[in-house]
Amino acid sequence: MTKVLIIEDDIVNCIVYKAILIDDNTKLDFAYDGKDGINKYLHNNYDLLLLDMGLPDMEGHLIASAIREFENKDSKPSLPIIVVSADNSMEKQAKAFEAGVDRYLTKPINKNQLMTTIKELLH
Amino acid sequence: MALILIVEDQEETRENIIKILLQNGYDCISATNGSEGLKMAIAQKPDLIICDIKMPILDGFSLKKELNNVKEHIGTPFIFLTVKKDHEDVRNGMNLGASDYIVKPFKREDLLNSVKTRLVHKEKNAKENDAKVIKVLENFTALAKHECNTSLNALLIFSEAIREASKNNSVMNDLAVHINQSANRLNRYLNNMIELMRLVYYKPEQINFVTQIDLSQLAEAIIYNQAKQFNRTNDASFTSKPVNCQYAWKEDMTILFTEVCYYVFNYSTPGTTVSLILEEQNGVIKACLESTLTHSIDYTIAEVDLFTNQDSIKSWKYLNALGLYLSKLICKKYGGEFSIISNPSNQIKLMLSLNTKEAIMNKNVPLLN
Repeated sequence: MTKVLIIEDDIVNCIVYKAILIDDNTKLDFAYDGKDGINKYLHNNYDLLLLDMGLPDMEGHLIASAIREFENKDSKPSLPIIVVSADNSMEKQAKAFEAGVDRYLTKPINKNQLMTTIKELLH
Repeated sequence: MALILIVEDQEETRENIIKILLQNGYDCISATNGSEGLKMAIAQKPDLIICDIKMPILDGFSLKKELNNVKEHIGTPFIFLTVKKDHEDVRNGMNLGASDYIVKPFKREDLLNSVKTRLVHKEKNAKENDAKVIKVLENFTALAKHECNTSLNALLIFSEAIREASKNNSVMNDLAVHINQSANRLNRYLNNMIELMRLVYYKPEQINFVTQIDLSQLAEAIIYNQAKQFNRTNDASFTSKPVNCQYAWKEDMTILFTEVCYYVFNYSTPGTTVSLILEEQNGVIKACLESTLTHSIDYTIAEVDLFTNQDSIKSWKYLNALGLYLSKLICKKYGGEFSIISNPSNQIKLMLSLNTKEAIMNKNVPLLN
């Protein structure tokens, strides 16, 4: 069973993720802001994080750096993080990669591209 | 150097003004009546206009009224010359949007002060307006990206899901395909417009090699994806000589190769080969996309001229024109070139060049501005 945490504030995007990802071997957990997302991360073991950049309470890259800090502190394995954002600016991409995200995809999502990226990171 | 138009029927006054302005470093053009002045104002777009009120053929007020309807002259300082301090004339002039008035006979200092003040004011206004326009564009871009891409995300994914789920219902399946195609079209237009604004209106971004990509792999994926979109997978051919390109910004390269491939597939005859050759030589990446077009060659050349004419705002309304225009800007951004060559047999070659990361770093390639 693959456990995926999705931190995304837009309900339509959450339904889109469900349409693409849901199957018998995948469990999706949703968080609608950064605080809720970090809380879920701390109390569960996930295989993958899909992260939006523009959340109501904090920017996505800050969540990624917080997670990387927790991993360092607790010597935990690195959680694959894919940012999926509508913002394709270099500034946002640079911030995300500096914070330790593994991949940066832009919306609208291409289903094949998302699935290929997930496979790359999980295998 | 500012260009000033003087519209005055009295030769002595006109020559006197020109002499004073030339001595103080301004360029001057002059007209002897309102009608001539109007034509010169439209043709030569002066930075400031000094205009008498009472003149033959067309008076100063009528000239100002006409210019108020010319978009290019909104904000051009306009100074009236009056014979005496006639309050009616001054009020009329100001109501029409004049910036100032000078009473004849005038002192040299009064003329120069008025001209200098109005030009400084105009420059300040222009800078403020530019800043406002850029702010509006930034806000529009940020909002459009978030709102439109979120909606398009749903349209594209859900229409695809409906298409897959309705394989046994041809009506439903066709509708899902149409929704998907429309969403793709809107997505392409929206993102190309945003890219255009970024490249043309914003300060040029430094090329920051954030994303390491294999350009050869990306270009190959794009040409086969475009071929698939046009149901012409067998027509696509990709050849890549060794390309040393841990290359630049993925979004730029994706737009560039998607647009040139889209153009050639869209206008070439199904069944004819669309070949893309990619190679790198001495720090320059070159790509050549070749095929045979469906349309007659004259039409194609006219289109190409329109596409690549960067002053032709009219052409931007055509999505393909926008795509090729963007391709040209992206090549320029990477210190390269974009050209289209066609011959009387309807064969067409789209050729583009880009400097590699190493070449850009070493040669300090001038960026788009």
